[in-house]
Amino acid sequence: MSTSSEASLCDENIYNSIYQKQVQKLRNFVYYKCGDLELAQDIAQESFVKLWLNCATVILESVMGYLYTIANRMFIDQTRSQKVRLKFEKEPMPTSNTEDPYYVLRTEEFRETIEQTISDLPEGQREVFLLNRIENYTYKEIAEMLQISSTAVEKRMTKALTKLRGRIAEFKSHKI
Amino acid sequence: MSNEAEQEKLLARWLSGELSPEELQKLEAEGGLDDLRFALDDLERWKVPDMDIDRGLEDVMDRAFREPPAKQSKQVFFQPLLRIAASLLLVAAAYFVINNLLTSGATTITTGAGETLSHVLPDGSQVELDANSSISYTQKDWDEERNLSMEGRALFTVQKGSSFKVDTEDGSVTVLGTIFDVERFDTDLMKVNCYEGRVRVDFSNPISKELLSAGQGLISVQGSVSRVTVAPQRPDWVRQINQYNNTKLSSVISDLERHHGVSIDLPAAYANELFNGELFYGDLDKALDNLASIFELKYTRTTEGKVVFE
Repeated sequence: MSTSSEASLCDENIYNSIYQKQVQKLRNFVYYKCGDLELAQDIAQESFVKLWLNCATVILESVMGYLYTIANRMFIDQTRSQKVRLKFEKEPMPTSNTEDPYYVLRTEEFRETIEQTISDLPEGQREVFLLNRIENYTYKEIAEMLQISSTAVEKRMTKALTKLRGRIAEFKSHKI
Repeated sequence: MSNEAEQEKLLARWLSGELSPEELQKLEAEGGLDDLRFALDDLERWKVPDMDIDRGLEDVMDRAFREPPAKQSKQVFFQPLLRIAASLLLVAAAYFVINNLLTSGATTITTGAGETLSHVLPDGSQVELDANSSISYTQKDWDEERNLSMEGRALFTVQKGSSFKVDTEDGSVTVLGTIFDVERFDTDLMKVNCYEGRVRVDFSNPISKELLSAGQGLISVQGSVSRVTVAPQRPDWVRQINQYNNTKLSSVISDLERHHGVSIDLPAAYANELFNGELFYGDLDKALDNLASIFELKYTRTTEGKVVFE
């Protein structure tokens, strides 16, 4: 049954402010899964269209769960892209000298390695890692979002970090 | 907890700062933590390109317009009401059959001179119909397509849902849940005001499209469209009030004549007198009394539908 609390999603001001605050996070969530920015944006937009059309039946408190569920379902409906290649915007790397202990890592080449390593992570690890590191969600929030246990989130995160640590060591050994 | 299970969560918990000194020591022994921290710190300044939020919102609304109408959801009550439901079934079935027979044709609602009417559409959307106006729709098809045609002037308060379309001779107005009014008494003169939500107006000649948000309106005179600003509350005409600003008395009288379908004689000397302010025109006698006292006139209602000022 539809519940109409005082603050309704059908109120355009409320709907708009949720859109403004959440659409980019939702798009990035899908982006981390599929690595296709255009597809991610399309799915995020369509999720909000569904939300608007069903504004009378979605409770304000559960709006995020609704959006992520819809977006996730749409993503599954799409054929999963075979190879994910994520691209991030980065500020230019500050220059450094050989006295800097991280001299070898302070390069665009290193960043590309990290970017590639993240892209190559299995989908489950990749989304957990990026939701935490880029979108700043806590493990608990991610667990709720993906409807998995906190333990599962921590395991995925540890696997992603282990992989990253390994790749960094490899990178350094080639450079020195 | 088993050592292995903890091991599987160690790096994650290192990152969230939850490790005990012993655990941290153990992890540090594995090495590579500083470099990992360096990479993660850099990552903090990475971002996915920003979206154009304003354009995105427009796009969502545009897509929502194009969405096919959603099927009306049916509510089904189970166990507790089952028995009562069964006993009501026969009654309901009979009602359904009769209702269906009665509502298969088009529903037309018309107001005459001096008459206004409030009508509730099958989905709960409301129409306030001004005098000398009419709306027409097919009740049977309403669930599938919320579409009606109108002439005259009406204010719509639309329930959220699939698109809601109002057809006039000059073009159509499409909305999602919103409050707006449409006026089209005369050929080639159409006015649309949006008080809440968003509407789209499609003109038929020439074919063109206009989007209106709350507080926006438009006037189309012979196919040329100009934009107006509207106060974001329900229009005065619903309360049967007209706002006049240095308006010739003859125009005020014409408005009264049209609304009430009467003929009013005004001495020529008064035709160009100016009237300012609000006039409640819903009650003809009150409106006439009001004007008579302002302009120090007397009036008589001679025969049916005829008023003479002197």
